Amino acid sequence: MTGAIVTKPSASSQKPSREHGRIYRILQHVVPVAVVLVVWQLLTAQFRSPFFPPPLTIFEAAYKAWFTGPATSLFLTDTVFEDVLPSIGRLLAAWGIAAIVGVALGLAIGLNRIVRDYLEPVVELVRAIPAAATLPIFIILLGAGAAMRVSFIAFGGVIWIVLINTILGARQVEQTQLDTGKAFRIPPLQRLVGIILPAAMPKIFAGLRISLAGALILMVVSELILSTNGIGFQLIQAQRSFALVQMWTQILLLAILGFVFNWILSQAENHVLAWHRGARDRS
Amino acid sequence: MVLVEIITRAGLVNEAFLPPFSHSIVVAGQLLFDPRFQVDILATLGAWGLGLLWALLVAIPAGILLGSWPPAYRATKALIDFVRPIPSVALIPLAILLLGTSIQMKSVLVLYAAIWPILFNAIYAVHDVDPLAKQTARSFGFGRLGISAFVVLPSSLPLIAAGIRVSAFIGLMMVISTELVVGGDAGIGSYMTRVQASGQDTIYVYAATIIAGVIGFIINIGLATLERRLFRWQPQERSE
Repeated sequence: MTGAIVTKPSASSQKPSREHGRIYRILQHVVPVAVVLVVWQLLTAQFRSPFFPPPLTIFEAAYKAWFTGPATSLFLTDTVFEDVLPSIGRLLAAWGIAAIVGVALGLAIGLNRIVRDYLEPVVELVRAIPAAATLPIFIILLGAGAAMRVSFIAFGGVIWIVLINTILGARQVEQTQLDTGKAFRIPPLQRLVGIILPAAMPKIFAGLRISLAGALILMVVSELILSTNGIGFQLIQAQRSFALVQMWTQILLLAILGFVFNWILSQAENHVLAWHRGARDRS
Repeated sequence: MVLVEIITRAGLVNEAFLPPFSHSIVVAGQLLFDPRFQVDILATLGAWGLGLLWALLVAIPAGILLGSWPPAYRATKALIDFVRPIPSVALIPLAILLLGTSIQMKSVLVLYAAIWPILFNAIYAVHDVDPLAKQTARSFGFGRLGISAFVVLPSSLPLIAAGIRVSAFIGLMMVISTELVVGGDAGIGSYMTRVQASGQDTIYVYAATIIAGVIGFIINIGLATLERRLFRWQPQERSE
């Protein structure tokens, strides 16, 4: 009997305390990753293929490449300042421009029937162009500098994702809500900020998240061609000199960037759209 | 497009850099009948089709398995989470070293890029199959395999098809990116690098871009039409 009493709390602790739940969730993520790392290490150490160096070797090279700089620059190496940060800077600049232009244009197209009828076919056509195929055109028009890369990332691909999602979002605003706003004579700007943007936000956020992943891909593509610095440049340089460990460090870095970007945006999404999650669950 | 036409005709920019749109269209039309360029188109489409086919063959069964059998999903989730953040284009240099500049190299990259949308859509689709439908089938004496074939697969196909459409587009982008980077002997991207390297008229680059866009458009519209035809019976398709 006493046994039953003792086990009862643990049996009902299917739903553990908050603190427990957090530790459990972290473990649930950490353990499998650790297993993958160990298996990866064992396999690569076993087969010794020059193409697939062991992860420990890659991590060591990555540490050497990025974190062995002088103390004055926070132990970061030159390549962090000359390749990694410029790459990230170009990516974020392009993404920011595309986000602003894309959301503004998308709202204009999505809310205005006349503009929509004229521009939607054009949008449909242009976005069907595989982004990479426009890169030579950006090179022709803008040369091989940072301006070309930023414009390619922004207008070659990213903006279409933002634009299309914003149009969809703006179209989903309920007419009743818009009419109510008009009936109460709420000024247009307030209608935009108070009614339209919140209603379109979930779709816009989805577009922003996907487009950041797209921006990372386009950043790499743009740097694989005619570049003089950047993560993609280091990647292709490593390949040309058969420096496979270095190449893998760049792949690792890009994977980490992809993961971090996605994580930050989904956190932001959860935060900003907390009300929406709840609203959607009910429906 | 009209805007581009007006800007170029008005002589606002140098015609060598931005040719009039109508001119590019004409050149694109001529290019379609150039046997050398036809080889390029076929090379691109070949690598794309092969890679996409492999992606289908891998991702659909894998997605159905992972979606319907939670232990398999839990076991592979870490691996998927690990590999997935790697941007597909970051693997171009590795693929070149491993496989040279062959068509296999391009299709392997397409496979890697195209697998994810199909896989995830398949997992979600299978996972979200109406449990009532499954139970009904079970009470009618269908076995595990029968339920998979007659209930799970049909009801998850529309979402899988939507994934295929996304994958098809990503795959095309991947082939052309790869061709731009490696040059190689044939492909739309290779053609563009050849034109630029040989200092030919830039209008050919524009023409090739237009053709790439038309191919992308046709693939997209084609698959969307096919989806509508095939899944007209699906309630979620009808409501959309």
